[in-house]
Amino acid sequence: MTQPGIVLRKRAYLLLGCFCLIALGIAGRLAYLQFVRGPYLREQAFNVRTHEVPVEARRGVIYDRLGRELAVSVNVDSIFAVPSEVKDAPATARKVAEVLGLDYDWVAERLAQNSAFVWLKRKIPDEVSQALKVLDLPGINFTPESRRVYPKGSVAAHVLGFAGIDSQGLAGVEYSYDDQLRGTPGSIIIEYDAIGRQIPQAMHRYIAPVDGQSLVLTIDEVIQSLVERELDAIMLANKPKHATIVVMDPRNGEILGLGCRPGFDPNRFADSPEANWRNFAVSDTYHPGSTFKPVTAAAAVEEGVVSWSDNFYCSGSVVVDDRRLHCHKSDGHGSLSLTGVVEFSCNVGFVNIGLRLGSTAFYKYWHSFGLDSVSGVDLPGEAVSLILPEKDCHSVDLAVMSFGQTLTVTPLELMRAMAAICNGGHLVTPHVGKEFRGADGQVVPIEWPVGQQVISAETSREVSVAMEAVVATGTGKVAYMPGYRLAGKTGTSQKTVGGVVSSDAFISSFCGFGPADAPEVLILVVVDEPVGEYFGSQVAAPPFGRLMRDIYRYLEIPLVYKAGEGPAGQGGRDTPGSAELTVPSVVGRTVGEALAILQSAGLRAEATGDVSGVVARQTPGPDAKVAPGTLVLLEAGPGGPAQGLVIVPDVRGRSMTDAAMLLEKAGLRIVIQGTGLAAAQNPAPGSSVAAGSPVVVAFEPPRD
Amino acid sequence: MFYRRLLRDTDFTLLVATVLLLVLGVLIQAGATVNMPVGGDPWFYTKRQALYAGVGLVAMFGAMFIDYRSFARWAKFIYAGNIGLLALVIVAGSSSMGAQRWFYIGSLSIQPSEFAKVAIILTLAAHLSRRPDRLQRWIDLFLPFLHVGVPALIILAQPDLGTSLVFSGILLGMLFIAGAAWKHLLTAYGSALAAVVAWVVLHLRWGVWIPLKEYQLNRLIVFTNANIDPLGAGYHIKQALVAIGSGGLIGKGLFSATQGRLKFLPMQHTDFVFAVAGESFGFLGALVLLSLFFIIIWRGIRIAAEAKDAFGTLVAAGVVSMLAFHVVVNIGMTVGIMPIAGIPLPFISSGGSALLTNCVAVGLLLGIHFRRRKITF
Repeated sequence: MTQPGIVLRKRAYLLLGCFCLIALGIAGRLAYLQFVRGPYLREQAFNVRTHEVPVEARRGVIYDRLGRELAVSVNVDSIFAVPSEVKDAPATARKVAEVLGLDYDWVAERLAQNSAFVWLKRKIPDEVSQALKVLDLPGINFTPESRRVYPKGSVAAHVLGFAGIDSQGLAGVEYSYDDQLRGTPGSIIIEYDAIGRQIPQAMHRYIAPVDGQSLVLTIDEVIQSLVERELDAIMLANKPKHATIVVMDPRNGEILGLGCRPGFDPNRFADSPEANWRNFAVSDTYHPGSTFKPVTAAAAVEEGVVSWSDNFYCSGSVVVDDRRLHCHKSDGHGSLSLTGVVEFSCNVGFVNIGLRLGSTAFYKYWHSFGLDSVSGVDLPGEAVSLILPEKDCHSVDLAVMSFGQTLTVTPLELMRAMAAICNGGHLVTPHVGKEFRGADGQVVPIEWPVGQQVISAETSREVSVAMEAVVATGTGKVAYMPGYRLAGKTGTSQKTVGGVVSSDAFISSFCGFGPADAPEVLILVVVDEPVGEYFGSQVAAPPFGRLMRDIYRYLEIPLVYKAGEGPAGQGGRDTPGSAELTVPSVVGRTVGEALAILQSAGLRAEATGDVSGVVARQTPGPDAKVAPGTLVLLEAGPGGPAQGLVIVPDVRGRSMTDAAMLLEKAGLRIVIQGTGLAAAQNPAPGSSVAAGSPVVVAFEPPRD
Repeated sequence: MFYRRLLRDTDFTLLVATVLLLVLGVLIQAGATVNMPVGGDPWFYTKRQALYAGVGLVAMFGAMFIDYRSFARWAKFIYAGNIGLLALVIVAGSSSMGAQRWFYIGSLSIQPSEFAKVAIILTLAAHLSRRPDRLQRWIDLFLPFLHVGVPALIILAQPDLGTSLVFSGILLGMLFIAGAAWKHLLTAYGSALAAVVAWVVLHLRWGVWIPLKEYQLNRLIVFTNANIDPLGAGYHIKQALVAIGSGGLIGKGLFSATQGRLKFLPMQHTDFVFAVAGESFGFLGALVLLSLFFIIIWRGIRIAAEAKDAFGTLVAAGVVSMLAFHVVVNIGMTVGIMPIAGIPLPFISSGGSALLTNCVAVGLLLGIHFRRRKITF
């Protein structure tokens, strides 16, 4: 080769052409990366260099109607790792696994993740957290989170529900009011370089969490405890599958107490089977049986198809549409007034009343009493009643439904109808939410509108009088106590098992209120499949009576004696059972003394509140006449020095993360000014302030 | 007289493009290394790059004014000296990051394999230009392959896979321009490529032994799927793509680009420096860089075509092949369409030996152009 020739020139420019094509390809690839994939890759570029440390919002406290804590959040540490900061991963993994009780391989695998943030263990006990802090491992970090604690254990578990690990409400009011209770989590965003050093002067953003609002319930802890006591007694005596008691103020629908059995402890909800979490008062329908009869009676009176002067004859059975329907009294009640039909729960009488009412009117009142829809209670998972469609309803169906068979309702639906019957005739919405309280103390009441008038005040009063006769002299007289003016209705319904009416599975219930002329308390007791005795009068009426007795005393509802009645201890009875003991007064004593005194008096006692303090209140009160072994509830108040003060820690010189964590740990809120390291704080270190107070921390960039 | 000729016969397009690249190189080094202070001086790498650029310019003019034809006469000595140096670095060099590539003279590190590129271009051009045949037979290719193969294998043993691949690129370009038969070149390079691919596949599937370290193998195959080695080579390529892609049209600005500065991007001032350019100056900036390289290649090809003699043509072809190979493979790996071969971007990447070599190479082009007229003074 001596001379560059034609071939060479051709080849040289071929080479240039090749390079040209490759360069165009590269330019095309660049355009794709920077324009098509650009937004995604930019996002990646930001994510890869920022670490977000979550700062959990504190979940709001749940109080009972008098401000007693039912659910609180306590601060606990959660452990997370920033894998890029970890030095000597195997040693770190070994130590962490040992202290936290985790599997070494699992921890090592987490620490090797190409991720800015991995949880190691959430919400660990304080001593474990301390043990890990002492090791001072790089890349292993702590963030305060709150853990839900239910200080009263299983009390009101079905109302409260519970919250999960991420402080999310999962059941009960924790679920239905989750949006307000939860608050908004905040975060600290820190910019790091690839080897995990914080970049001085770089972006430090603190997004303060907004704590959840506190929720005040209509539940009264004392009444709730009484409900729990009666439920335990029912479970012990009757061994049913389920039992439910609801106590409501019929005037406005406020639920004062609601309990179910079997129950669970929301602190350890996962230890109980899921079936125990079910709130039967809300989520299950049942045959109300005779407790439904007042609805039929009220509808018939309101429609004017029967009058209180009418007479009904019961021969023990009645034939409707070729079917013979039996009364529970096989030889018949004979001639009864309308009051008598209600008083003795005569099925034949109610068949006549129902047939006079007619199916159109029956369904009209089924609707207007709100029985064809959910009660509207602020608890999750509400079920709705079941009834034969109106077009399929023949006379025999109407006759049977008139005394509460074949149709089903939820306990709360029935209570809603019963509240309208006794409160002067207007619908209420059963509810447990009373008001919200913000962190600044601002109170926001939850509005519960008053529903429409269903029956006249006169009908309401008349049916109430008839129901008072049930307790005074009728099927509910086991619950009678002089002066209490209790009204109610027993119910004993056969369960439908697999589509067949069972002959040995019953639901015993009692629905009643008092005082009959101006009701303040409405109670429903439902006992599902009691073993042994199964009549509502035997199973459900006694707990109703005991509850009414203690609630009357607690709410200080005055007793009004009718002619012929006398106060307790003067020939009358003050308890459904025999009164043999007088409750001694223990108010003002220490809880320990009180327990000893009550025990020696032959009574059981249970204390709530600050058990290191003194007894502020007792239920039943002093001098009440009760049966031996009755449970006396003690409410203890603080007896020691003023509480709720914390010492302000010194955060000067700390990074923003450290300062925020220190103050959070002390139960204080951080208010951030500026960026960099903490230079000054107000209040000063060492001062004593109320827990939850804000501490203003001024940050300045480091000088060098 | 001389100055008039200087004005008339200097390829100013090539010169200006090269100087612009040197200036951009210093700027990009400043952006890439400001967070890597050496001895407390954040501008250490920037200053060093500027110094190298200055020395490089001097060397470029030196190479331009020495008559390139004298290199043909010294070819035997250049070749022998080059092999000697490469052998010496294996025996007595310093190793860093698992490879033995450098000599240290004081604080100055010298990488003989960089200079070897120019040495091989010159000596191979001398060899090819003296051959009477036109490389039309298989046997004719034996000596050229041996000529390049010996230094390339020594460099592969350092180990430096990237640089030895550059040698195969230079050889291909020069043989092509020298007129070797299409089918021979296609057969030789095609079967070599097929053999390598087959070997890698055999290794991955059945564990057949392969003379590569795990990380080298991963780099070779990772561009097909960044998830092959997400924390190693795959991490590099992902971070490079994130850096470039986040640049957008005009980039984030030299000192606002974060990926390179915050060390998420590894080797941001050496092999992956193009990603820093892409992040800092965006699509337009990357296009400017690409265009400057294109100008150099284009002028180099022109100079090869117009050279006075076969030696000049072949030297120019070698220089063009070398630079083109570097640019395509380096940028290609940064944008994720080529294996990570670990070779630097000419004039931009940090490293004195490479910069000096590239400047001398451009100086040779300028010299060949300067002397392209047959009638000399």
